[in-house]
Amino acid sequence: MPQQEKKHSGVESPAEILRWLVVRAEEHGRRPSSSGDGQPDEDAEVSQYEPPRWDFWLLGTGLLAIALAAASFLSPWVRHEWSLSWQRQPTPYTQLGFTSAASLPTTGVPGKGIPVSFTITNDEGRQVSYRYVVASGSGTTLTAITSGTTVIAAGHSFGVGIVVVPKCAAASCRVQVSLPEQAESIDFLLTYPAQSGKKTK
Amino acid sequence: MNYSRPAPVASGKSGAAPIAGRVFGAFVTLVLALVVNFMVFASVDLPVARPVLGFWFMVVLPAYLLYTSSAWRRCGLQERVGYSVCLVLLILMASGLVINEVLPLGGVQRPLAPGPIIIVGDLINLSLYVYRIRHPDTIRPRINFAEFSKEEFRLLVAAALTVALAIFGANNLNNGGSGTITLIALAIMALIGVLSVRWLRVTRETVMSAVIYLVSLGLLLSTSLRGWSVTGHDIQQEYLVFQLTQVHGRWSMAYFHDAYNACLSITILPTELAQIINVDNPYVYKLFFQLLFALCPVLVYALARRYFNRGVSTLAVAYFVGFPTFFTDMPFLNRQEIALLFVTVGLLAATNPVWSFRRRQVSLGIAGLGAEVSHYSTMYVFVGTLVIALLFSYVGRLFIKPNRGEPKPDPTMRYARRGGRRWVPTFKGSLSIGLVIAFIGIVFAWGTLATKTTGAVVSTAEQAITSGSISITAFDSGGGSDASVQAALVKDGLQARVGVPSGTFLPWSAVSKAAAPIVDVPLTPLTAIGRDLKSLGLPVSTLNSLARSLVAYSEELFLAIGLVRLFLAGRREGRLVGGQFFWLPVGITGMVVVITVVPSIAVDYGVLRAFQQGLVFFGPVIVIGSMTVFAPIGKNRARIAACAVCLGMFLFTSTLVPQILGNNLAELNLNNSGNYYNLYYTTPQEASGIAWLGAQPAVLNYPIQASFDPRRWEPMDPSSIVGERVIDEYPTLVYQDGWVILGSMVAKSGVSFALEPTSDAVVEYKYPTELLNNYKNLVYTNGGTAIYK
Repeated sequence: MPQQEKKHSGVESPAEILRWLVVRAEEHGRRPSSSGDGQPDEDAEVSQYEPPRWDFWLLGTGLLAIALAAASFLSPWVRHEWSLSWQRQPTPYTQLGFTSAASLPTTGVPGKGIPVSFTITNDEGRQVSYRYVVASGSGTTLTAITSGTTVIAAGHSFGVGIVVVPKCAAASCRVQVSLPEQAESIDFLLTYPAQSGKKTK
Repeated sequence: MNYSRPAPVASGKSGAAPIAGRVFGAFVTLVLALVVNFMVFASVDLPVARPVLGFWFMVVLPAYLLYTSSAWRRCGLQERVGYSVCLVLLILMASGLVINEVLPLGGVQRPLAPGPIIIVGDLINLSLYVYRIRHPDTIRPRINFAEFSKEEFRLLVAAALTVALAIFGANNLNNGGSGTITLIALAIMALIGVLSVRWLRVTRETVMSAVIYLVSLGLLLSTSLRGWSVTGHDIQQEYLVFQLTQVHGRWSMAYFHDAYNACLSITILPTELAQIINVDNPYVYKLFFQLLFALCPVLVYALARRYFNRGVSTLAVAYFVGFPTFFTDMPFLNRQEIALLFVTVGLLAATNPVWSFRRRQVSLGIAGLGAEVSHYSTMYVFVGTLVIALLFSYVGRLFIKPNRGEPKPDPTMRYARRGGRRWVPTFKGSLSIGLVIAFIGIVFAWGTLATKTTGAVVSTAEQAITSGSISITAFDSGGGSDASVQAALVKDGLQARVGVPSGTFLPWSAVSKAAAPIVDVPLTPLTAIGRDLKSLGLPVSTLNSLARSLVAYSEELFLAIGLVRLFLAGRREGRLVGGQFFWLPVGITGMVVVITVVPSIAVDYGVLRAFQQGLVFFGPVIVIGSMTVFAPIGKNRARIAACAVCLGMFLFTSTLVPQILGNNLAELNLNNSGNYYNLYYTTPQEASGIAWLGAQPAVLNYPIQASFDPRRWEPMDPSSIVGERVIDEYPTLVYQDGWVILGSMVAKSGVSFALEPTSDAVVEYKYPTELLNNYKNLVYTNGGTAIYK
C-alpha cells in the first residue's frame, strides 16, 4: 500500500464540520451505501488519519484498572456497587401456601378434625428456624389450636400436614396458618351446615 | 505518523488468503462445532461457554459462512451482514418448521428437542460451508488495529463502554440500586452522537456502523435487561408462545390459536436458540434477540446512504434510535424486531445498485416472506405502505414530468466506478402491482391458509369501517378521563353478570360498595438541579411535558416539510430522490396517518410502533425537513441547528435531561418506579407466586385474575401452561371461585391497575383488599405477592 504524505485534514471549523450536510438534487445516488465494491467512501477522507497513541491507551487502561482495584479494596461502598452491578443479589423472602389450595375444606362438623396441609419454602438465602401457628375463630380474634417449629435449609421447602379441630363459636369459621416471625399468614373459611344464615366464602 | 491505510475491504475472487491460515480456521471451527455438539448431546451446561458457543454455532457461524461467500459480492459491509443474518434467521425458521412437520411422521414426537435441532444446525453449517467453498470470496471481517484512526478508536471504545454501562446499570437497578450508571451511559451516547458528527470525515463507514451497532445495543439492553424475569408488555405473550413450543418440543397452532402463536420468530426461532444455548429462557429474548435487532439501525443507516450523504444518514439513525419506542418498547416486541430486520433488508435488496431487476424483486419477496412469518402486523403495515406508495406514485406522475427537453448527465453515474458495472441505487420497478399482489399472496398463504389468524385483522378492518370514529391526535394514549373509565369498568362488571348463575361473581351488594379510588401517576421527585431551576421560577414539570409534546410535534412537522421539500425539488429537477423510493416514505406516512385517525387500528398496532417502523423509511426525510425549517438563518447555521435539534431531541426522548431535573414520568431503564415498572416489572416474589400457582393441582379449572398487564401472570409450569388465561381482577369482575393474584404493587402501596377494553385505557386505583379477605381464602403469600381462591 503506497504511503501518501498528506497533511492530516481533520475538521477545522464549524462550517467545515457540517459541510457534509448538503443535500442537493444532483447528489442523488452520489456514493455507495458503504464501502461497497471495495471502494472507500469518496467524501470521507479515510485515507488520511492519525493512529491512536497506544501507549497512552495502555497506560490509561492500566491506571484505571489499578484505581478501580484500589477503590474496591479500600471502600465498602465501591464493593457494594460492584456487587450490585455485576450479579444478581438474593431477595430474601419466605413462601407460605396451602398444598392443595383448590381442595380446601369448605364445610366441617363441629368437634371433628379437618386436614390442613401447607408448605413453607425458604428463600431467605440462609437456614431459618420457622415457627408456625394454626389458629381458628369466628370473629376477628383467633385462638391458637396448634403450633410447631421446623428448620429449613436455604432454598428448600417443608410440607406440614396436620388435622386440627377448629374452635369456632359461629357457623362461619376461619382457620389460619401463620408464621409470626415472618409476619405472613394464609387462611380459609369453612362453614358448619347445622348453623345457617351466616356469610360464606 | 501514518497517513494512509488500505481500503476497508477487498473484493474479488479468492486466492489471496494463505492456505495454512484457512486450514487452521476450518480446523478450529470444526473443533468448536464438535464441542457444541458434545455439550448438547451430553447435556453439559457450562455457564458461559455454552451460551456463547451455542449462539456462535446457530447464528454467527452460518452468517459468517454466507458473509464470506460470493453470494453478496460487490455489496457493502452492512448489507452483507444484514443479508447474511436475515437469511440465516429465515433458514432457521424454515428448517425448524420443516422438521416440526416432518419428524412426527417418522415417530419423533418432539422435533424441536435439542437433538434434532443440533443436527439441523450441523446440516445448515455444513451446507453453507460447501457453498462457500464452491462460491468463495476474499472478504474477511478482520480487525486491524493498525488501521484505526485515533478518532475511530475513541468512538469505538466509548460505544463499547455504553454497552457495558447499560448492562451494569440494568443490573444495579434490578438489585434495588439507582439509575446513575445508565444515566452515564446515555450521556456518553449523546457525546458519541456529537463526536460522530464532529469526526465524520475521518471515520470510515465500517467503523461508524460498528459504533451505531454498539450504541443501539446499549440502548436496547438498558431496557431489555430490566428485571430478572420477563419484563415488558407484549413480550409476556411472546414468552408464553415460546414456552408453549419449548415445553411441547413442537410448534402447533392447536396449542393456542392466536396470532402470536403464528409468529415463527417467537415460537420456533427462540426454541431453536434456547435448546442450543441453554440459558435461563427469558434471556433468549432479553439478550440474544437484542444482539440481533441492534443490527437494524446499521441497516437503516445503509439504506439512508443509498440516497443521502453521511451527515443526513447519521442524523437519520439518531432519529431512529432516539425515538422512545426504540428503547422503551422494541425490546418488548421481539417479533417486530425480527420482522423489522427483514423489512430493512428487503428494502436494501430492492435498492441494491448492482443486482439485476429480477434478483432485487425475488430478494424483496423473500424478505417479505420473512417479515410475514415473523410478525403479521409489521407485514400488514408494510403492504399498506406499498399500496399507498403505489397509489401516490401514480398520482405523482401527473405532477413530475421527466425533463426531456435538455438531457443532463445522470448525476448518479458521475461517481460510478470506472471500468466496472454502474451502480445506481434504484427502486425502479420494485414498487409494482405485481409486488403488492405477491405480498398479499404471502399474507394469505401464511395468515389465512396455514395458521388461520387473519381473522383479527379482518375484524379490525370491519370495525374501522363500521365505527366511523376518528382521532386526530398522534402519540396520545387516549381513553377518556379516569372517572369515565372507572364507570365503564363498573358497567363491564354489570354486563358480565347478565345471564350467569348467581354466585359466579362476588356479590354485587359487596363489590358495588367497595371503594376503588383512582390514584394519580406520581412524578419523580425534583433533583437538586431541578430545585434550583424551580427556585428561579421555572416550572420543571411543565417544561418536561412541554418538551415531550414539542419533540412529538416537531418530528411530525419536519416529516411533512421534508416530504414537501423533496417533492418540490423533484418536480423542479424532473426526478425525485431515489425515483420510486421517494414514495415509500410517503406510503408509510400514509399508514401512520391511517393508524392515527382510526382508533380501532391504533388499539391493535399503535401509532408509536408504526412511526418507529416509518423511521426506517423517512428518517432522512425528517432530517431534510429540519434543515429546511432552519434554512432562513443561512445554510451553515441551518445545518448546525438541525444537528442541535437532533441532539436536543435525544437528550429529552432518552429522558436524560428530565431524569437530571426530576418531576418527570419515570422511565423503566432509569428507575424502579413509573408506569412501565408498575405494569410490567415482575419481582422475584411475583415470579415465585406464579410458579406456585402454576404447580397447583387443577389450577386451570378456575379463572385466574390479576392486575393489568394480566399476561405477565400466566402460569408457565409445564403441567399448566396453556394459552392466554389470566383476566382482569377489577373488583366488580372478581369470580367467587377464581384465583386472584395481588402483586407487589398492592403489597407495597395497595395500588392495582385495570384495562377498560372498549376504550383501551389503563387506570391506577386502590385495590379494596378487604373485599377479598371477607369473601375468599388467602391461600398463598410470600410478603410480596398474595393469592386468593
